[in-house]
Amino acid sequence: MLSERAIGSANADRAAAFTELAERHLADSYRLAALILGDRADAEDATHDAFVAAWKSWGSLRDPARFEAWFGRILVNVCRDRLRRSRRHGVTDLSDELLAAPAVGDSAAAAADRDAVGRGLARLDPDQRLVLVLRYYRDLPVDEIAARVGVPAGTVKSRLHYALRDLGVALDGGRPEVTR
Amino acid sequence: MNERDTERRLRDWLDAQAPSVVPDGLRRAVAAIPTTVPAGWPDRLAAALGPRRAAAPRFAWILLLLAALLAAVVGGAILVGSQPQQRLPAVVPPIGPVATCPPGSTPDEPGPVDQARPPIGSLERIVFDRRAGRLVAVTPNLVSAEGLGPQTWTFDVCTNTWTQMHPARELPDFVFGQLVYDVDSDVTIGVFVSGRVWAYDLQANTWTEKGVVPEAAPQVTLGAYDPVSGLVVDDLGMWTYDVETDAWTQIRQANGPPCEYGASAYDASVDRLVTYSGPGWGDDTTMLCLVDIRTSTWSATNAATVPVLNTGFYASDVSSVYDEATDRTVFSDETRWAAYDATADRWEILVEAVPGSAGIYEAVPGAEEWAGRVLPLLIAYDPLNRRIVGIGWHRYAPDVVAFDPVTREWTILLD
Repeated sequence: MLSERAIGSANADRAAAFTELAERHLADSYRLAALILGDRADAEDATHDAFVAAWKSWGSLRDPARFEAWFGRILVNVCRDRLRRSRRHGVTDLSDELLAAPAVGDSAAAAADRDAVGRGLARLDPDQRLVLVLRYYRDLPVDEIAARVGVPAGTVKSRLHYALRDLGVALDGGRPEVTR
Repeated sequence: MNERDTERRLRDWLDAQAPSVVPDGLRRAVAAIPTTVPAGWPDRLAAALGPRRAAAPRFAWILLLLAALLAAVVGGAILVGSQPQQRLPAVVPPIGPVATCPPGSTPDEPGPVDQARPPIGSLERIVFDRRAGRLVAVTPNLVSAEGLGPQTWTFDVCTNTWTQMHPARELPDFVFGQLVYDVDSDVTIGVFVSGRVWAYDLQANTWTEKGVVPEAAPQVTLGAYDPVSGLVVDDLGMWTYDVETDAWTQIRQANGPPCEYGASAYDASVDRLVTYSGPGWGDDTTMLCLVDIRTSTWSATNAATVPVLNTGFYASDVSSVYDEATDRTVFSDETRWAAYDATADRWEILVEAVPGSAGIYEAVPGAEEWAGRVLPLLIAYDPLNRRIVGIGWHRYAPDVVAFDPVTREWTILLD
């Protein structure tokens, strides 16, 4: 665990503290970005952008123990901005690369099932996908998701409800409601 | 398929699809950040200015008007709960003093194109500071090349220029919520997702940290400034907030209107809080509520005449403002602006974007120069020029436009 002293005033200390925390959280952050954005190249860019933003704002992080939550908001906001931009361009689908990526030892049936889930997720509204990933991949409680995404807890619950409903419909072979 | 099965399959998919290896290029790039990117060092040591010690202005006429209103309602039936929509008596309390543009100003001339401005998509709420004659905006979700964190901006409607205010103390690291300008206290009040209340004094360029929302109403949503009481009310007419005493008062105990998390404005023509809630908040109902703050009564309608705004999960993105020029409440999203005349219970679509085949709105009737764009989402009423100002939310909308509700003319103020 880093001490507060590690986020001290000396340039070397700051760089060392940042590097250590970045290295520790890089893999998780990249995975989360990949699942939110549905595109690994985009996830690389988003993860890098988030760490750049974190470095630029390093002075506002007083307690290194809060780095994960603090940086989590940054990452989610970067991903959210990218989703919003891509939504405007109509490029919100999960990449074929991610959809087609089979897990080791996948049976044909399991692969088909995964493909169905992936395609169902790709058809969801980007903000719906974001809360699903935070809830079911990161296992974050609703309040924490609300804080990271920047919406009321009731909104998170609503988005989760409709996202699961639409995903369920998609897995049943139907078409989820188009929600813009 | 039941929800649990969907959840199980989703978890399995997420676990399986999460990439297991971080690309070497990303690892190297992140490790190099401290040596390649200059660190930003916001001046966190600068002491925030103390709260302005202005005397609490409560105008005598406000008290007199309040007394008159109370006397009037004593003789009438006080109904609690839902009641049918009805024609309402017109009461027009003065909203407050307004600044004026300096002589020689050209508010219809577009502002300088090369000026600094809030990054695209960074604004969530705007309000109009009547005494300063400027829009006040904050960037709660800003992550940009300039760094992370909220920024405070103002827009001068006389020169059509943005100014980043750089107050001594900016808002905390993450804010999302509502802003309301409190006229008689001359501050912009914000209640954010943390439940913390902040007040911004534009003249002093100071954010002042206030208390938190009441425990009994952890998700209270600011609605509008009430010029009769001089207080800010929540969007359901259940609570008032007095920024000068930092006090919340519950004015209705239960059975509030059903327009939760809506967009609100105070309609001076009928002395009602008008709140719109669109689909996406647990059901698909589009609803309009009129709340009588004086008597704690309300009416609600989900009639087919209520236009659908912001369908999907962005009901919070609906923006609202009382248009003093035509005595109507205007609601906006990226697809249309709609005006509600409470005295006649009548809606009018002011402008509507036409969906294109690619899902991007390709044309706006009456504003051909916006082709390929969507409408400005955020709106505020500009009492100096007696028109509505709209702020674009992303790259497809003009940065700042004005709509004259009387002449129906659109003016691009900044693009």
